[in-house]
Amino acid sequence: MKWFVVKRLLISLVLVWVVATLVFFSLHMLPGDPALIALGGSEANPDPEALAAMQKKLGLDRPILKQYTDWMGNAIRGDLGRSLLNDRPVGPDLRLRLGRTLQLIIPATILAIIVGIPMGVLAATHRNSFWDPLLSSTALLGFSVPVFVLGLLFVWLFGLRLQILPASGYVAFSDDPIGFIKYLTLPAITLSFGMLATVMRMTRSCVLEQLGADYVRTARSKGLAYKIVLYKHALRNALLPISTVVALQIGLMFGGSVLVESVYNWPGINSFLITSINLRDYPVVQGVLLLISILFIGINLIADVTYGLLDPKVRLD
Amino acid sequence: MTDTLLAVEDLQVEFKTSEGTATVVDGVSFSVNKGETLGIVGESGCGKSVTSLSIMRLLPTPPGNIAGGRIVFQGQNLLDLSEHEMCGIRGHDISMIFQEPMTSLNPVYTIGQQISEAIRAHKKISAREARSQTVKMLEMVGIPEPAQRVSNYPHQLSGGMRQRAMIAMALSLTPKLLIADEPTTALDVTIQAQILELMRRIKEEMDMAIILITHDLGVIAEVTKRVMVMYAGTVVEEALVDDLFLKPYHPYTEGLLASIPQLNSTQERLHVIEGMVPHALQRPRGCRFAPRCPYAEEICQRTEPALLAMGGGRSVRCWKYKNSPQGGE
Repeated sequence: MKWFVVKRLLISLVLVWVVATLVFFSLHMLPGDPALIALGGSEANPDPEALAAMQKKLGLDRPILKQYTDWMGNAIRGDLGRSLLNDRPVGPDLRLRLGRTLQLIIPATILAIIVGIPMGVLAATHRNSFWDPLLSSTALLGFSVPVFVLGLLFVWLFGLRLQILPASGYVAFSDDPIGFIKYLTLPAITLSFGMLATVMRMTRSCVLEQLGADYVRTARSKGLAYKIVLYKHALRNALLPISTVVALQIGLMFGGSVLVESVYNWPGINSFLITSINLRDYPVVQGVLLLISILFIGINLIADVTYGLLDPKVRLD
Repeated sequence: MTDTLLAVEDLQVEFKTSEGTATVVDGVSFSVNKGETLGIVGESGCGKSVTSLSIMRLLPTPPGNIAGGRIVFQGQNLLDLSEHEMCGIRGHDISMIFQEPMTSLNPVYTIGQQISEAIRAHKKISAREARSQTVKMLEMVGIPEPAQRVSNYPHQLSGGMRQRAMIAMALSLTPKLLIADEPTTALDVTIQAQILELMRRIKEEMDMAIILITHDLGVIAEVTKRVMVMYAGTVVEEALVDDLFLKPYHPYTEGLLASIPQLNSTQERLHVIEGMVPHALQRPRGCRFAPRCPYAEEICQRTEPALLAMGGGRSVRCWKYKNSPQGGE
């Protein structure tokens, strides 16, 4: 297990480096010059000398490989550079924005797990009653409705018609804890929907599969009550594939949070990214994408380790 | 007959399928005395496993359903008990071991945890006590270094060791009846012999009755005294093992015995029973074996024979013996 983790960590480091490099070069291949944008765009038709001066000031006159090695060297030391737009250091802004996005993603994930798994178990054990079709079709709806449609629906229903929750916006938890939760509720539910549906369907099919397994019959032949067999034996084994799905879904949630942040005006990392892409603010875009890729790879690493902890075959190898 | 431990009377088990209701076990009756070993033989699909799962009330329901009959264990009809009462009997009075030792143990718990769990489901004892009893059980079934093995996961044990662990689990509460459903089928021949030897030894030590279910008459010959042959959901012959091997009455039993490979025989090809077991939904009107029977006559096609007592504890379901109960042909 120890070697398993070390090996996975090394692979993850290589992956992060590959992603960072790809991001760097593909970004610089995009049309559009940040110096030109900083001087008001091509319509402003700035003086070529001023443009060259601006390029020099922003460090864009260096050869691309030099820019790459400079950036990579600083990034390894934890310095992601300064924004081309306002000269603010990228790091602190990134931390602030990422924190807000995580404030959205973590509650959504927890919600999806603590609601999705019991719903899946209920559907699996009540396969012949109305519960299963009801829950399964709800889940199908959760899959199919795009996150922005759901978001707009919620904004209209709860924010505008019923007016029980704010339609959009953000308050920091440290400023107003209750306000924070009010603002968080709708976006978190919206974001959790797809994952909840997936977790529920996965739990249902995995538990059903495990309930048909031979060891379940053995457990029952020992005289264990059905509930114990269901939770301690069948669900425990079903958690293995479920944990993998949860990890993959957290990754997808970063994608979903782009739309959710935009619908609910949530000032997270995604709006930061989109603005920076439009302005060709290279250091910011590179920083954001580097961070997201580290997170993504880290989550998969955690998933693998969790899987190992759950499965003795991996744990003891 | 105060010695009777288990009496299955006219058991009917149905399975609902999309094509109709199939009667998988049709009027099976037998009894097992205290401390006795009964063998049940038959091809796959003859209803032997369904019969044993019915005794445990572990038949997957739906699609399975016990449609009729009684299963009387120590004077009590198990079919009348609630699920809660049945949980008190499973593992405690009647235990079961299964064919696949690979998949019959839960992969995420150690064998010690799984055996202790069985003990603690029935006895109010501490985890520590249960663990020491578990180690004793592992020792009894011949697992080397039981104190270390107790914290092994199933995947760390070989097939034979896993089956021993299964046996230890099944016997941990000294049940009065052990149902062994093809316990050696998935094992190597040498391991098979060891497991059968273990079962024989434990049966003596614990004075327990065993129902041994198998398709292998060789296994039956090793372990049991009395044997019941099932075909297509019914009992076709019942006899003491020695009598059965000496002179099978039913043509199906004859075919089964002839199919056992003989090392000292000059015969080059193995004997096969022609044809297939009839599908439970398309059983012949007369004798169920008639389509494959070399002796089939006109009456066999028309009417199903009854199980005929032949004396000496033997019975057979065949028209051949209608007029000559002493077994003349």
